[in-house]
Amino acid sequence: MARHRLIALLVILLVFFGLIMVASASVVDAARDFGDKWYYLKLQSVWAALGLVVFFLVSRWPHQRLAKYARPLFWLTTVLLLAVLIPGIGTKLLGARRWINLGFFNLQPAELAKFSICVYLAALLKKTSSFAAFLFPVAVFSGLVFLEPDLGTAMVVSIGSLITYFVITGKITQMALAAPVALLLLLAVIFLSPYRASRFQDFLNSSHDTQGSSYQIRQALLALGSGGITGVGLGQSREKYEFLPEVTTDSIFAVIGEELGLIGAVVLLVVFFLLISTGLQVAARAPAPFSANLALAVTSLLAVQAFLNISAIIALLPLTGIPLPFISYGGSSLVIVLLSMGILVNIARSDRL
Amino acid sequence: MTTRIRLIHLFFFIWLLLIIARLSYWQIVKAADLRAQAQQQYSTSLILPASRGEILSSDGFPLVTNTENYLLYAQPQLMPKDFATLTKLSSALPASDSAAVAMIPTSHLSWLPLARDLDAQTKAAVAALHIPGLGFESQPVRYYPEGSSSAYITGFVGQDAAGNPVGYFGLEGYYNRLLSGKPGRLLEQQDAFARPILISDQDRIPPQDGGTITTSIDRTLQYLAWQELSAGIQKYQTDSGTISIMDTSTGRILAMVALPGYDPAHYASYDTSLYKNPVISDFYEPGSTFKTVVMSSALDLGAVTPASRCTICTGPVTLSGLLVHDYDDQYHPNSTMADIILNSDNVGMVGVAQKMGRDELLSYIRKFGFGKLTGIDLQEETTPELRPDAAWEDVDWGTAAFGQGIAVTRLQLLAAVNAIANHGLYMPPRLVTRITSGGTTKDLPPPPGIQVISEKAAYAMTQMMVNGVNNGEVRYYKPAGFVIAGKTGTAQVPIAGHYDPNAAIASFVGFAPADNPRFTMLVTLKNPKNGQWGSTTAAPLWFDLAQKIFRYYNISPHPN
Repeated sequence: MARHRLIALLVILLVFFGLIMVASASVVDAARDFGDKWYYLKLQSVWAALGLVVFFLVSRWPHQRLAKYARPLFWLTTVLLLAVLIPGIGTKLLGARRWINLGFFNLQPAELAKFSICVYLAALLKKTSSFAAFLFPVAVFSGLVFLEPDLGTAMVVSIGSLITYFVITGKITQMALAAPVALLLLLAVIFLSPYRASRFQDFLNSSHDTQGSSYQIRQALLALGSGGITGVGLGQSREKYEFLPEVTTDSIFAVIGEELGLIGAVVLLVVFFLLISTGLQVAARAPAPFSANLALAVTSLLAVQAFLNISAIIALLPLTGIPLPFISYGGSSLVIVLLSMGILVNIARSDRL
Repeated sequence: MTTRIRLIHLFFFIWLLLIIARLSYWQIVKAADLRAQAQQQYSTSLILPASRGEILSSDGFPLVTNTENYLLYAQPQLMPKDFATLTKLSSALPASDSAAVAMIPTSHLSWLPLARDLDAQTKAAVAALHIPGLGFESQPVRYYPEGSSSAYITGFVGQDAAGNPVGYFGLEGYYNRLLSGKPGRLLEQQDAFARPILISDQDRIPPQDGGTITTSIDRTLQYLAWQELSAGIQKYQTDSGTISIMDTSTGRILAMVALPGYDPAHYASYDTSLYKNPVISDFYEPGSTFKTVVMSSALDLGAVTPASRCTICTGPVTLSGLLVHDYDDQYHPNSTMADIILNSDNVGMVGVAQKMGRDELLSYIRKFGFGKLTGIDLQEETTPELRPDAAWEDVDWGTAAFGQGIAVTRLQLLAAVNAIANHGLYMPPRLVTRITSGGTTKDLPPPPGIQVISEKAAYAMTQMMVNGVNNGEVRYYKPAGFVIAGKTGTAQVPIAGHYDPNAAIASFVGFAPADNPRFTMLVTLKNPKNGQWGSTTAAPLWFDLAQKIFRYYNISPHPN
């Protein structure tokens, strides 16, 4: 199968699978909060429809034209990331200022940042391989996102960007120098904030406070264990009955593991990996540096986000609050990831020439 | 770049393998463990309470039934908090609950209890205000249509240490297990907020409701006795009193009241010393009423005949160095046995006892049921112990002959006198006649009687008691045209080794109609201030009530 068709197929599969899982995982919260157990499914379906329209339109629109928008896009994103921090513009939810209320839609600038950084890096690294030039946009985006605070997305942006930089430039030395600094920064950030320190401790010892901060990870593990190899069956999750926090968003992989078992979870992982592999192949075969860079950046960020999310839920890495691409409930996340995938398809098409 | 892409591809592949390995660890290796922990977290068993059985009077009307009370709670966030609304709410509630209403405007609780134990009427009044944010929870409670008048029969339902309903005292206590039934269980899965998960499997063990018990209590007699006792306590200015009525031939209790009482629906606001039924748990010296037991025993033994004459009735008699007087220091030499009963002659009774001898006397006293529980189906029955025969000095069994120095319960005395009424056949007193449980009805026949004295002795004793009523001091109170057998008693109250000069228990025990007794009744009054004697307080009360019972039983007087 042609790569662009394979990507389109995998993306559509993931979107529909995501809708099914949002439907299943959200029924309890939706019924509780809105008296309509399909409330979240209905909203997510609208976003999925919109996202797929964007996906198909973008997949037929020459991605090369994006290069000249790299700089305006960067500044627009920076302005939005700044704006979201201003009380009155940014909407505060659960202790974080991450959304700008546009009336019909709550825009999450951090999601846009994940796309903008790809475009910006693709354009930048075509011309220069300067680490300083690379570091500037990455530091601006991750720094502003971190201030919301949204450490998870900041990590996705920086790690995804670092991988992109390394693959494109091959400059391992700067990275090797930057790595300890980044690590120290990360540790400082973690231990300067009590809740992050606590999450980190949970990761080292997942039962240190089962009713408190390690509650989420413990409930996620109970879900996975209950699912076993074959799962308890679609819709049969017990954990979604308000035991598991963030069940429709960050924790949705636990519900997948519970309802569909190890088999279902591994199939999903394989689908993700297939998409990542295909994305990397597209990057390898792209006819122009900008296209290759863009494909690589988009794929890297997707891979990092998906695997970070899953790794956190299965206690392989400390918990960070990021959505699982395609699957987790959330309009900005879904539309932006479909936009990126539309571009990837377009790049895949162009390598046939 | 292609090499580095391969490298990064490998990096993601290794990450993927790590994820799958970690996932397999949780979903295969630790699965059973985690699943068990999860099940423990989701599953609870909900107790489905069994409804408590009713207690019925002999005509099937409930003495105790169930009703619902309501807990009123507020969800302050959902409530209007303006002054007018809160005032309306406050005025619909009992005054004691207005403090809780005042807390609504400042409360940060999401669930605030406002008032407990509201009856259906108050609940309806509050609901009619249509104030948003208010809700009710129903709580099953016991309802006592007869109120405190039957409290000493029913007992009450309280809570055990775990908060489960438990019957205490009376029938509620004695038949607690039968009345409670068996609670069912609902094994279900619950969410983190303890709400049932509807899609889960439910395992329902239905509750077995408690059995219903029918008693021999006659509501009319119970009410009449209560009314008479209340009036009597007023009239004679007594501290307390009891009336017990027994069906002569079956030994079943028709009515049993005692004052002061308590309200079983609000037992907690009464002193705990009031919970025990004095008829079955209070010990007293029966005084002269006990002469009926001793005399009938002597007649049965053949120690005396009704025509026997007293040989020692010339003056006070000395027992173990203690001088025994008659109550009025009047002595009747050569009295017949009938005269001894008529005059309530203590010295004469000592003579009767001496004719019987200690061992025979004590053996009869035991046969009449003293010193052991009657076995009535009320929880708190207790009995004074009778010392072993050898421990009775001459003065002890000599004074016992006229009812002093021996402690009994009122029910023991009533049942003993009932044996005289019932042709010498002692019937163990009982309350419950029928048990309906789990769809089956079981009639409880009276337990077999015990022939304690011969029919002849019983008749002779009855004659003496009739004579005592017809010709004794109580004759002025006797309703005309009825043949009544009875005996007065004025028992002294022992305190700290001597008798309290200011305390007495006045009593009258008897049965009627004497030729074919329908009921046996005991009236006791403690410390009457208007007249200390049984003949002037308890006896008139007994006769008043008896007259009403005759009317109720359609027993007409003989015109003579």
